[in-house]
Amino acid sequence: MNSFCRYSITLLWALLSWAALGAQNVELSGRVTDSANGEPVPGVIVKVRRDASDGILKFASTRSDGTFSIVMTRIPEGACVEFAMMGYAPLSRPVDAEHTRFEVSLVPQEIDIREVIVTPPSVSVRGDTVAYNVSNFAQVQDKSIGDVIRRMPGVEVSKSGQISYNGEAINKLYIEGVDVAGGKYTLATNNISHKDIRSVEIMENHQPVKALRDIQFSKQAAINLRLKEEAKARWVGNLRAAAGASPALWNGSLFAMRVAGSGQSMNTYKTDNTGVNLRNELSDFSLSDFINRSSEVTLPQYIDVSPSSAPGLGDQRVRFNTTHLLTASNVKKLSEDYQLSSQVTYLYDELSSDNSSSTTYFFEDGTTSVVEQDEHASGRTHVLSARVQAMANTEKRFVTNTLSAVMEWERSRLCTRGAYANDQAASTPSYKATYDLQLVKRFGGRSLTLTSKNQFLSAPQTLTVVRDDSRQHQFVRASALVSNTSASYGWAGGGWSFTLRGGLSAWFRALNSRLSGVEGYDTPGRSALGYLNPYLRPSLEYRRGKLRLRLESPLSYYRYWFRDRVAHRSEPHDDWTATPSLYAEWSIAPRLQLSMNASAGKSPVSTARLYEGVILGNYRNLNGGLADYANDKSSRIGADLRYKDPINSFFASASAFRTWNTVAHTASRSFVGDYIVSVPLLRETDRTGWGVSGSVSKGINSLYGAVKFDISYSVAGSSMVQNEVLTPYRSSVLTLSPRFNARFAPWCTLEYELTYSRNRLRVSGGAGTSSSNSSEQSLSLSFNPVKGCSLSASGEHYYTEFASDRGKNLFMADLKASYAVGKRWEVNLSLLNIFNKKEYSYTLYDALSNYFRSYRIRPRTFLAGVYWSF
Amino acid sequence: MFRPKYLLLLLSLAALPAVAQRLDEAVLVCSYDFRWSQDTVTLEKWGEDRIMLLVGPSVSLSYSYYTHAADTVADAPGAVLAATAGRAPKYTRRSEWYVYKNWPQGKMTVTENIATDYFRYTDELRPQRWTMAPDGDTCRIAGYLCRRAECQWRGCRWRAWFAPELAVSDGPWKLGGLPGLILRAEDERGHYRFTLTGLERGSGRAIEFVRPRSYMSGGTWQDTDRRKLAAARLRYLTNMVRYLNLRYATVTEQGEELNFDFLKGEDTPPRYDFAERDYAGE
Repeated sequence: MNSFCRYSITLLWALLSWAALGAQNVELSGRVTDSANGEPVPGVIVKVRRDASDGILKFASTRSDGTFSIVMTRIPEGACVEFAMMGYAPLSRPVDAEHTRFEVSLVPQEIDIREVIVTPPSVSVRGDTVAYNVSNFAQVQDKSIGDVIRRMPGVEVSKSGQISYNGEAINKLYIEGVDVAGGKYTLATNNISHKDIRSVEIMENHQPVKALRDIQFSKQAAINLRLKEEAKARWVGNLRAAAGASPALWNGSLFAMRVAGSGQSMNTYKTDNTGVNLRNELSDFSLSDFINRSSEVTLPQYIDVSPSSAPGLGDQRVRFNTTHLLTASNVKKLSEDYQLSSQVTYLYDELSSDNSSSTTYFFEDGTTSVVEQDEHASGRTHVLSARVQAMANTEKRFVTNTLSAVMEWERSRLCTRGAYANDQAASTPSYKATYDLQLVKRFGGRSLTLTSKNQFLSAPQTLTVVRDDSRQHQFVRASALVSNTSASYGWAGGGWSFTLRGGLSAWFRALNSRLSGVEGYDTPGRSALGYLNPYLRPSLEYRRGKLRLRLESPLSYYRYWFRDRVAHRSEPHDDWTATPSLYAEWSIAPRLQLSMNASAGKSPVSTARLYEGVILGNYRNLNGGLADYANDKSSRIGADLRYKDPINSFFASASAFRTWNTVAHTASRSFVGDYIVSVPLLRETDRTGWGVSGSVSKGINSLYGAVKFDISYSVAGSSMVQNEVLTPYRSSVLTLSPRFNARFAPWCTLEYELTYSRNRLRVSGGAGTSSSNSSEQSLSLSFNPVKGCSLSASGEHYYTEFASDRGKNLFMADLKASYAVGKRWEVNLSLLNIFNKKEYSYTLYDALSNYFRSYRIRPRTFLAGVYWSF
Repeated sequence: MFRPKYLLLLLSLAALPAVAQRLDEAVLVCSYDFRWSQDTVTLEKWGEDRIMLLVGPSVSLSYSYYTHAADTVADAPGAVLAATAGRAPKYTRRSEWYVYKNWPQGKMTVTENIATDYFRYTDELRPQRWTMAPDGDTCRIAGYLCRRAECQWRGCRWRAWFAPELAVSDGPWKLGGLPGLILRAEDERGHYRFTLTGLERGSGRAIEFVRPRSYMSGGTWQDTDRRKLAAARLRYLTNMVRYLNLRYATVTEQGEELNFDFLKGEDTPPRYDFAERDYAGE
């Protein structure tokens, strides 16, 4: 059809529809203002009512400029438009086809409503907790709450058993609010069955000392295990027994716990010879060290003849042991705020190992010295400890008195064949008694803390070496008395918090040594070393919005006395040290956080090597002391950048550091006859280092899994004196580690992990660069075909390269199966090291030497066991 | 009637850091009981919360009383709280949203958190399209005559009772847009229910933009999208371990390699759905 026709049809259609619409729809519009100031009023409710009674036909609200519009299909007779808003008097206007535009002004009016009083709801008494219900995380193969905790959000468990939440070590583990494990919380997490636990509460920013709440910003968390009702006020626990072959193997444990209002009791007995390391359960992570930020005082181990163990492989692959462990812990609550606790533990551990090694020593002139040997070692250790503590914890004051003793007896034997054949027998007991007092008193918004730790330590050690043609005997006894008493005062306000800690520490050590059978080194040594150290540790923290800063500057004065009883020489010495540090954290953007830290300082004189004479550490090493005072200096800067996008499950981080150290002593090593004599020289050595690392992780939601990649590279440079020649060296380590896991079906999950590392050692002066690569990968698959039944297969591959054309591969595979019978029983089977590999080898770098070691590892083992919980 | 616990809370609110951004002054303060089903199969488990609604001339704020109390107590240093720290009742967080209506103008801002990450998104100001029930369908709630209205919104059918006598076009959470204050609202199946328990004059009480706790996430929000946030929350509720282990996986202890068991949690999808069901979930 032609364009005129089309044009007129369109026009007709437009006219008709306009007429139809126009006749039908009415638009009501207008503006509402405040009569007092003429300003437009947004949010006014505009209602079109059918008549004076309630019938609301249509409604709208005024926009931010006070205007509104309502489109109606028709307006009934007698309709009106009403304007209402809280705070103004309502207004009503009639509306019809002619009156569709409204300009109204509302009069402000007192709000007059019938009030219904808002009362606060009842509150439940709970801390600042994040509570997780155990059943959400427990899996079929979990036994203890420790297995479940390992998987809790944000919780990580290190190899030593230390639990950390959100990157910070947790400072307490409670059971129903009571710390029965007394710092040895692995005892609880490894043994309490998750079936008795109702929920695990993670108390963030936990301040265990009630009097310090809100004054010291604690960045640590505490875990509180809440028990199910049926598990309280009666003995609960579990019994495990397993037996197996090649050779006769067993593993058993009994755990019994009773939690009641008046107190808690936790007892365990364990026995094992399948390689499990029960010593971890006695690791003590204590509160007093957290308050003091000090580490445990120990005497150095002058004689070291213990069986060595292969790094990299899990304990159960390398330990040939017979172990018994017995613990009994008790807490008695005398009242809400007072409690008495006691703990006794005993460990017996017998170990043996076999290895062969090839050690290469590098010299600056390009020569090397190679030593090849076979070793068989065995050792026996008894550890007995006892602890009693009285504690009062109210919000005004906190007092604990703790008395404890740890006694350890260790005997070891090492037989060496090949180069330098010999038999060594050593006895290295150590005894320690401690009295610890802590007092925290609160005054309004301030607090005063007093701590005092006093210890007596003694370690009488002996070593006997028997060779074909000679015999050596070393006796060394170190005894020490240590005391550290300090008080600190803290206050907080307006985003700032300041703590000043000041104290006095005293240290006294007597060292007696006697060596026979080594020509030229037969003189005995008798010395005493002591110091008095008054100190101040101020710490200032500022927190506001996106920024957090912390400045600390420990200052110490030392007065030393050293008396050499043999040479009748005595030398006092004065020293000042300071180690300021600064930490800053800045949230650049909601998803990006940057933190930086810097520290510098002089550290106190190292007392470990401060003695006269020489001590035979083992058949080959003579360690000389240096009776001189010298300080190390160090400085470090570092930065961390973190990016997080939890919505898209993507996280990334990068960090870098640089260190500069000036070490007052240079290690020197000389080969004298059959011995390596190491004596620190009073000569400064510079040690520098730097490193970068990064990590990226992404969740793959469709596969219920994730992929992660870590990379790190670090370089260290230093020098050592070898045969009187100063030999500088540089070593670098590169590590790459991708990880992947996924759940392909509800009954099947897969995990894969690879760690590749490359070590390089460059000795300057022509000995060239030596490098070694190694990698470890593991793959595991688990299946849950039926409820209560779980099967898992895992494989590990180790590769170590020694010299560019020689490398060793090791494949290991394991199978495990378990089946739950009813609620309380379980049967499990495991077959470890299916391919029956008997040896593991690797290469290790040390300053200017290179070890190649080959270890005997546990062969194929089969274990069948039951688990019963009551 | 002043009870010591309430006084404590009042004091703690007064101690809010000055960085809180003031948006408006409340003319009306309401409280609602909020009940929601945590197991829609057996209907045996219910969540309970107390929702506050502060209505100002321009902006209104709706949030959970418990959550706000927990956040304020955790963040306020100072002598008043310190003195009673050991004894004062402590609060756990419940519903985690803060809904700011008409801020910025013409839109709604919602802040929510999943674990220690805080998020913010904007939504439409009056998202529900209500249809009113016939005239006679009325009832009395808290002494006010209420009319009923219904709408289909984001996958749920909602019923609300509003009081025309209270001329504010608002309600708890994201509900609003009726010619009167919503005194009761529920979804058709009864899985989400708001019921008014209190109504007072505002007396100048401040409506402030609440910042997240400063020691988490550096006191800032991440801007995001409503649907993506809901999908992430579902992942978090289904397997908290997998969600959070990934997040904390990047933290390591000083030099020591942590034994870190990646993502071995069980999948336990929550036995209820969200009130807004239109997210692209898995």
